[in-house]
Amino acid sequence: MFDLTNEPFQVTTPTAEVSWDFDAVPPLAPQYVTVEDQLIVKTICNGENNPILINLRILRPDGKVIPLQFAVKNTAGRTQAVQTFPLLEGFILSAAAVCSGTTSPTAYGFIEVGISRPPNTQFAQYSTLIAGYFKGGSVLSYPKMIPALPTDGPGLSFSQNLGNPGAGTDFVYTVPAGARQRIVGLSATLTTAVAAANRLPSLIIDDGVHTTIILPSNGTQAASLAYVYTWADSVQWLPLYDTKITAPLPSNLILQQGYRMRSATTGIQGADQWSGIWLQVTEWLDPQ
Amino acid sequence: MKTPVTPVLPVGATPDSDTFHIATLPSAVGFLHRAVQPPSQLYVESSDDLAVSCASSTTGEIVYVNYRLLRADGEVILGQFTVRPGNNRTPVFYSEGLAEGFLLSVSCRATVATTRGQTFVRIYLTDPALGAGQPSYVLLSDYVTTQLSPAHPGGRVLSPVEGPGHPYVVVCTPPGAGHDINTNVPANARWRVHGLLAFLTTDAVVANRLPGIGINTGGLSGFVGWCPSVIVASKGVEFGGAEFAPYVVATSNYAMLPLPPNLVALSGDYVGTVTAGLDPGDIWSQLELNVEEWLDNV
Repeated sequence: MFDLTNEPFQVTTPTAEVSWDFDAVPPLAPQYVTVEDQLIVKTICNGENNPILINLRILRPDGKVIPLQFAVKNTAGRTQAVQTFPLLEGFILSAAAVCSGTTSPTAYGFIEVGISRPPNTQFAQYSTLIAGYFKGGSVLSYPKMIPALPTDGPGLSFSQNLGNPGAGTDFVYTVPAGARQRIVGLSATLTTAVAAANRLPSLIIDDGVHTTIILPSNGTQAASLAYVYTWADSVQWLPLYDTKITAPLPSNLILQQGYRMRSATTGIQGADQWSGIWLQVTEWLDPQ
Repeated sequence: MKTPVTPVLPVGATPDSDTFHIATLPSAVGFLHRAVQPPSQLYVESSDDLAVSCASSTTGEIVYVNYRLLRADGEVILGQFTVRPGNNRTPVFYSEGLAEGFLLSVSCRATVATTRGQTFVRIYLTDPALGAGQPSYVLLSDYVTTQLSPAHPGGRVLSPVEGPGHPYVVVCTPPGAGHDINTNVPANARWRVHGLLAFLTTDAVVANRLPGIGINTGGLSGFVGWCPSVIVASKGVEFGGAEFAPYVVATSNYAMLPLPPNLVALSGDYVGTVTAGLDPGDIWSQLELNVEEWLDNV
């Protein structure tokens, strides 16, 4: 049995019993930096230049909280850019990365903010404050946010056009450098010339060297016709109807940079033409 | 020496005094209650503002924000204010100055939103020296509902596209005879299209119509799922589409169109029908989209 005792307890007292020590408060953050340290910012974005502002609050040794702001310029085209900024001695209380530019739904990028100490390079970054995707209006922060990887999250969905190949030539789509893409669907029109022959298009997926998947369209196209071929995630084979043929892609097909999707048209003739080639993709930036 | 144990009063009983007794074990640990270190890591200066951005797709939303601040004179100050976003998914901003001290906690609650994906709130510190509205410390960012109150400390800092969204049915405006249905994904929204239903009534003009469902992203062609059979004149056919569902040829008055799983459309995209051979007298109607929505760019 517990040895219970009685305590008189007075309620509704307006006076707090606890008093506070405001004169010798220990530093409020574990992230101590000196003038030898520097902020290192790595960014990669798709096609559009989004200016980013890094806002810091540093508790200086004299007790002053100093707000600092650094402007980061991105490099377009999924190419990683690295920039460094000097710091002052103190404790980093908080940091926030704000995309202050366009709010276009198709503009996005990935940012990592860390601390390193020269002459070491980014390979000697000893702390990561912020890592995650940014878009217009988004805010990433330290210390409350868990740093993310570029392959985290829902990705960005968009469509893109692939230019027409030459006559009599199959099309080739290559996943761009710095990207990882989920192929939701691919649609293309094959217009056959008058040369008599049966054309049998297939879609081939390879890593640039090794063919890994062959997806026949299950269609046969004779001369002087224009058929629309659609390969899409998890759909069934659909027989030819009104010049449309639908065929499946593997479910949740993720391709790394350098992987290719290309048509392979058995019986293609010199004047046949692939055109109207569109892809629906979900993309993650994936610097390598 | 033990003092006598007083039984605990039954619930609802009226105490005869505001002095009562509680039964506890004697503590083995003693705690400092004089010159205690502030119980918060979040020191704020008078130059700091507590700021909120909030966006919603609900009508009449009011978000209450409550905070507790340990002022430098030792007083704990309670603060409360409201933000009232419109239903257009556009963020509204509010900020108010703070006294020097330690921010103990912040929380918020919505009055309309009932599930994730509807009302997103971000609460942060800002210093005007950084520029108007520039966050310097994000305390929380998450969806808020009438039942769930994201808070600091202990709350999460999330992007609005993380986690589950808001599932609902979008009833599309009939486009008029001879036109396909095009439904615009609203600004600052992201849809995952789980399924759809639509009705096509063809006129008496003899021709084959081949309906499809499609997504048009950023003004560019995207995915189109074609019907596995043509529709002739003077027919009324209901079309369905759902992720992973096998197609159904329109042999009677129903057809199923292929729809890839996890088909996402962003603001500015269009979701709707694409009909090869649509006649001026044909009418699409009753298009309903089953979507899951997240706020985006907020």
